[in-house]
Amino acid sequence: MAMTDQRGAEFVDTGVPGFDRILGGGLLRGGVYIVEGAPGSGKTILGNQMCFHRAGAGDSTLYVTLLAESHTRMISHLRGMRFFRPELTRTAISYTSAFKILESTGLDGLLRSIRDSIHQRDVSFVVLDGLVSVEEFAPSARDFKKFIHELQTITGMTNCTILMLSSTERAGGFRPEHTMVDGVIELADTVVGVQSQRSLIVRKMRGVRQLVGKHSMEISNAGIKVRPRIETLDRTNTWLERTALPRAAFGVVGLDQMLHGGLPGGSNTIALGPSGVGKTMLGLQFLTGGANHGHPGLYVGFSERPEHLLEKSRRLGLGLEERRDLVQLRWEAPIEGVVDAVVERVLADVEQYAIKRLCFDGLHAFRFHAEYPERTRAVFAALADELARRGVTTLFTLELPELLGKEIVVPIDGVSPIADNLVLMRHVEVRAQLHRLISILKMRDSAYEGGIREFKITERGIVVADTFESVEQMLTGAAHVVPE
Amino acid sequence: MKLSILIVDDEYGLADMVADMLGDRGYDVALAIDGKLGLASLETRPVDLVITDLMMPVMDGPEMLRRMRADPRFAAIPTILMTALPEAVPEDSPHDALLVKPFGMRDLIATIARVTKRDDI
Repeated sequence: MAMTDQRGAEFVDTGVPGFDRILGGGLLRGGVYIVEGAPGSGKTILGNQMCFHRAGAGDSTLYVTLLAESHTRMISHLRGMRFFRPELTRTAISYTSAFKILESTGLDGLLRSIRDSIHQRDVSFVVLDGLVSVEEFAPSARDFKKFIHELQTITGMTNCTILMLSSTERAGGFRPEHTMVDGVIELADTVVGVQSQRSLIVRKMRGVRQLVGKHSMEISNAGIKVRPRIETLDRTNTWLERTALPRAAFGVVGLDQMLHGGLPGGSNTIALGPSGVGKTMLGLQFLTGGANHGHPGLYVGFSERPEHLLEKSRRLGLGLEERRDLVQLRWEAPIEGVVDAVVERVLADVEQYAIKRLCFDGLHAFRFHAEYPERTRAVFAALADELARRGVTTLFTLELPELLGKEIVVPIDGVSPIADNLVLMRHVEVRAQLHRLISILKMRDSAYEGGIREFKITERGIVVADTFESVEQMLTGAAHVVPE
Repeated sequence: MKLSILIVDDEYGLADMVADMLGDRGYDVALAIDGKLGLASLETRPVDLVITDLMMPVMDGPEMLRRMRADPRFAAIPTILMTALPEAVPEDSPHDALLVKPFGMRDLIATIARVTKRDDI
């Protein structure tokens, strides 16, 4: 079914996951678009994927190549793609080469050939692969622009949508033809450090509000998938009144007392602490505490696999293994990857399992997934906001680099002001004994107990003791005993 | 006597290469880049065999073959349809043999011998 906007403009959906959201709905029916990118950036796959999708939707489509590239080779590659449906090639997709036409009859002959093919087969979607060849054969820049203009005249008359693929090394710069078309899409495969990162940018899109900036792209045998940056996505419309949501108790008596009953429902909390202090334990206890009251929970971790977590739970009596009906465990490898892919999977789990509590164990490891670590703050803000809108109470953990440092250095700039609540977990050494301390540094719009308490990891999980009153400077980890 | 062959293909490179290779073997080869131009070529230059691509602009291979079959002057000319997409060949395409791309010269020669019923290929 065709989609239209408020002005009645009809959109053509592309069938490329994520792409229509970035385009602001899809391509305009009858529009002319340029897709630019260096060889290997995915243009041909994108064009073919859209052809097969449109053909499957009932359109007659045409794929015209202008390059000295063999259809045979291209089709042999396409056969490995899941979108390749050979039965559509009998009726709805035509592959033709127009290089010889261009060579022998120039731009006018090419235009005639495209126009005639559109009329003959009642074509409504065309991919023209090799715009660079047209430019090379154009006697002048003016002739090239005239070609684009006349192509627009054809689409105006036939309501046919045309995608022109341009294998240019000049992607990113302004080109005169960019001013003439309805949209310009740029594909790139860049190397950052040792990572290869595919991306898509919609440089121009007439008549719609596209999601600007760079979005990650992946090519697999399923074809192309684009992941809009979470920061640019429209948020869930429903904003749940936090005061209407119940507080999220941990089921740890002393801690719940400090929190005046638990974390405010729908809020986000960062638990800061050095390695080994018990952040993961706290997160698991947060989830089992919720599950014991029927609240579905999700654990997202980057270091401990689900089987290790279950073993830890058995050892420490957390009861996680008994609550697997309500607690999902997601492990993400702490290797280079696409941050938006992780976010996408997390939000999909939240949706699928109607998650009410989430433990995101390791904002620090999450940074390894970021192609651009400076995005971490923005991604955190967007994710936290989206989870809050869905009424999820979230506990993020963030590792402090210093085990016993005098200063508390938050390793990711700018995240603590965004967090609703901050919980600090510390080791402190007193008389050659290590103690664990917990304190609430901040709780937005909520009263809380400001004292510092000692906690222990026992066979019954975390046990929070009374206020640790006799030690000064515990927060810095450099405690000394106050003389009596 | 060596065969005269018309090769109809829009794709850059492949038709020229096949034409060169057949020419080297002594065949008399003509080229056209779509079905309409292929029919026009037959009008002026009769051949013993037509090898055509499936998908082409202006007029595709099956349509050209249908028109040949409907014309008594060309109806008996043996034909080979070549394509990388055998699934896309219409059921009513009146070709004598189908050659799936990519193919080797040996396959091509064997197919030519079969459809022309010549053993001196």
